[in-house]
Amino acid sequence: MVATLMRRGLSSVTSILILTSLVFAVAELTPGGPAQTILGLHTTAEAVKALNHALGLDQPIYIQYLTWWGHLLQGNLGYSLIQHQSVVAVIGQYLGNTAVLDSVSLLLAILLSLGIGIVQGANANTWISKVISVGQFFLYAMPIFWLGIVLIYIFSVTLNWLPSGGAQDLAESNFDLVTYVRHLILPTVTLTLIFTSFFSRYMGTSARLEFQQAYVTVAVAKGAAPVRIALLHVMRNAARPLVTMVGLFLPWIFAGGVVVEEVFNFPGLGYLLWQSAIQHDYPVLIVIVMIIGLLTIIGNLLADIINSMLDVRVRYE
Amino acid sequence: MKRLFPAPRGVKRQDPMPRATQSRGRLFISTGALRWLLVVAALLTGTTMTAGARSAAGPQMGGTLIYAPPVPSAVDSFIPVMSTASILDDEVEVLLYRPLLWIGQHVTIEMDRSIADTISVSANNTVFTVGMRHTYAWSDGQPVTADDVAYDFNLIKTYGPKYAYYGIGGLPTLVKSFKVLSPHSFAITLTKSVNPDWFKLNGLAQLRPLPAHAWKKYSISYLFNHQTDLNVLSVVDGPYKLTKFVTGQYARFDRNPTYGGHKSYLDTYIMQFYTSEQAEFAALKTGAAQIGDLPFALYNSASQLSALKTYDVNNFQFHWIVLNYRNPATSFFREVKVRQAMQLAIDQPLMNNLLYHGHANSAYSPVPFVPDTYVSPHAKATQNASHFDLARANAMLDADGWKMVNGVRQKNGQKLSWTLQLLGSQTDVKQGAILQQDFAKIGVDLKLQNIPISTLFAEFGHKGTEWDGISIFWIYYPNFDPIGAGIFDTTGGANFGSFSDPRMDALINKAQVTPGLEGVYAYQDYASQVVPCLYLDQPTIIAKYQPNVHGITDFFNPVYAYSPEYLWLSH
Repeated sequence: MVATLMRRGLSSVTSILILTSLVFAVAELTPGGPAQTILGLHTTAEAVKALNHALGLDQPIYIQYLTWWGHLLQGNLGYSLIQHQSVVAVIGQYLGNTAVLDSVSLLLAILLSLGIGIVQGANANTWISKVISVGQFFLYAMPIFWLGIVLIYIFSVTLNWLPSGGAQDLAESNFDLVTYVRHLILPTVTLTLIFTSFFSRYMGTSARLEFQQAYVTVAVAKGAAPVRIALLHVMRNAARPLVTMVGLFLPWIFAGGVVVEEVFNFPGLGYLLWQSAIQHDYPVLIVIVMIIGLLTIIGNLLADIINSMLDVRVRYE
Repeated sequence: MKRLFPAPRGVKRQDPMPRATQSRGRLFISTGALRWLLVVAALLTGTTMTAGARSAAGPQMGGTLIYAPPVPSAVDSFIPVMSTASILDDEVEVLLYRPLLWIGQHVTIEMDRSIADTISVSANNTVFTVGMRHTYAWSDGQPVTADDVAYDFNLIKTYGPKYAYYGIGGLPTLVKSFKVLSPHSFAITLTKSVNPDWFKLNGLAQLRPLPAHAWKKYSISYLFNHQTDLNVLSVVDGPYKLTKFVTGQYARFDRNPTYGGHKSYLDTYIMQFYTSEQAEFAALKTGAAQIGDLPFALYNSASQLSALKTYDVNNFQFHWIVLNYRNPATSFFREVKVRQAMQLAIDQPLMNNLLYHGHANSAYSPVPFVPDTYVSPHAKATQNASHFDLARANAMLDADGWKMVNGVRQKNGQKLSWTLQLLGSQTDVKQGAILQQDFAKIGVDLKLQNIPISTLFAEFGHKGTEWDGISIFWIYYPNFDPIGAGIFDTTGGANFGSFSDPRMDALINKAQVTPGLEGVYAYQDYASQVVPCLYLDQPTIIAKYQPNVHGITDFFNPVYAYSPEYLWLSH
């Protein structure tokens, strides 16, 4: 296991290097630049040149890249060119919200998918399974932003039960957990429904196959309760593909979060990623991409480890 | 306090007189004895009924108001000079650091709201001596002085071309010296004689006192990297103090009790930034924001906001299609007749109706029509004449040798065909489609292309030949005197299409040096005649606000110097 982890760690570093290099290269090739964004239409070529020089953006791309890595190794993630704060400060204001939103949504989606998938698998070829399939396809086909807008219309605008956006009530000076949770509900429900529609289909198919296995027949013959069979035996085996999917799906979770954050005006990393890309805020953009890359790598690694725990036939040296 | 400017033509606006006042008006007319009682009461209390924004009870102190600026919105900086060229940054800076000169509703200097109380100009129009009021103080008790203005000026000089508005209004490029004469007066000497109004509006108006005593310990680099740091921003002279800022989310301002001007009625003013028009719309609908705007893309949903009041905000800007005169593929842009013909094929009234639902002003020159402070007599006289005439456009092109071949005009082997780049909003796309149809009727083949704003910046910065025409808005900030300097003069930094006309250069230069408005009138009339760019109509911002919000007409301002200190909430 240790050797596996070390090999994976080495390949992860290589992946991160390639990823950040690509982002730097693409950012350089994209027309425009942060200086023009900062100075606007009223500026002159001389001013753009001066600001590029002040920001070190007139250096060759490889110098800028090496300088960035040099700072990173010293723990300095740099300064946002547009927000005029340290990258750590900028990302810090958004990362927590995204972490909460995505992790709560993912956890709920996994729990729901496990349950729905087991029910669907246990009732294969019945009307229950068909109804669940219809629901899954309906949600799967629905654009995330549209679902979000519908939920806002129902629960905020019409019923006035929940706030339509933001992260907390702005009139309050201090953080209030209840208010924060109320603001979190609709974006979380939106993401959870979409993720569940995706994951539960895999879980349902996998569970259906597992319920057809011989060990299930034996367990039934031995008189084991159906719930016990489903939860203790089938779920463990059926969940393996789901675990793999979740690990691979992490970047997509982030992408879905971008749309939800925009619809609900929720201050998250996805929105910051989009803004920093448009505004050519390279320092922030690179770090966010690195975070996504790391999450993907960690997600895959965790999926492999969990799979090895779920299936004794899978072991890493 | 300046009155409201006259209702713009063709633009709807709510009557600002609140119901309580109207009710009292009706009582006054209909009931004899009560009428006399009311007259006596009015005389005793000294109250007068005016067509202002005050209810019968008068402004009430207190409360928190949330304002949602048009999407996309975000503030990146609160430090003048160093901030990005962002109107929103300028809007918030004004709340903390009061400008030397206040530009009011008519885009003129309102001295009674300015920190400067006198400006004298030497006979040769080179020396401007400014006297400052003694009533302004920083929030830490230190007086606002001429040294603070000198600090600002020196910061501009030192920061150099990185200052987003460097050179506009001759600041600091035309300044020979800046001399502090006394704690509350200073003199600026220019290198040449100028039109005093031009320099006051475009140059002096950029200056503002900054807290020299608090900031002199910081290096420029430190200030640059701490533009949203509340510790750095703790000493202010404006009506508000910044008490909380969450990047990309909101900025919270609390009343500054030491402010030397009109103190805020509100306890707290919050500027909330929204990521999408739908999110802002939902916030207005649910009351999460008290003031916002209705984007044209969501105009059909306006009925859902029927409980809110409406106010049309006219911004001092113009909407135009920049033509690339460098591009050999579109060398026909250099022909005046071609440009004039294309301008005649732009149906602004139709666009106003279809795209902006009546919330726009037609524009046939670079000078905004509302407010009409700088509009020439000729432009006023011809504003309502027919500027859309396809027959005349066709005749013009026929006479100029452009022959129709399979629906597209040609001359000397060159087709009248070009691509218009748009920033891709729904309204832009629809406008492009209307232009396409009308241009086809005069034999101009117009193609449309959506581009992201980064491409626009890149193309304008590069000054190459890869584009033909681009539709943009030009905001007159901080060049409030709209004489076209920088836009249509040959060496202008914002002359993106490289338009060059010696007469235009001469007129712009004359407007810059000759006192009075004749210079801007002459420039404007010439620009209207030679059409250096294609003019499009100028939409308003449709502001929506809760019925218990008052002071809206004093809050909004055509040059984005919004004044939330005049807003108040009735309870």
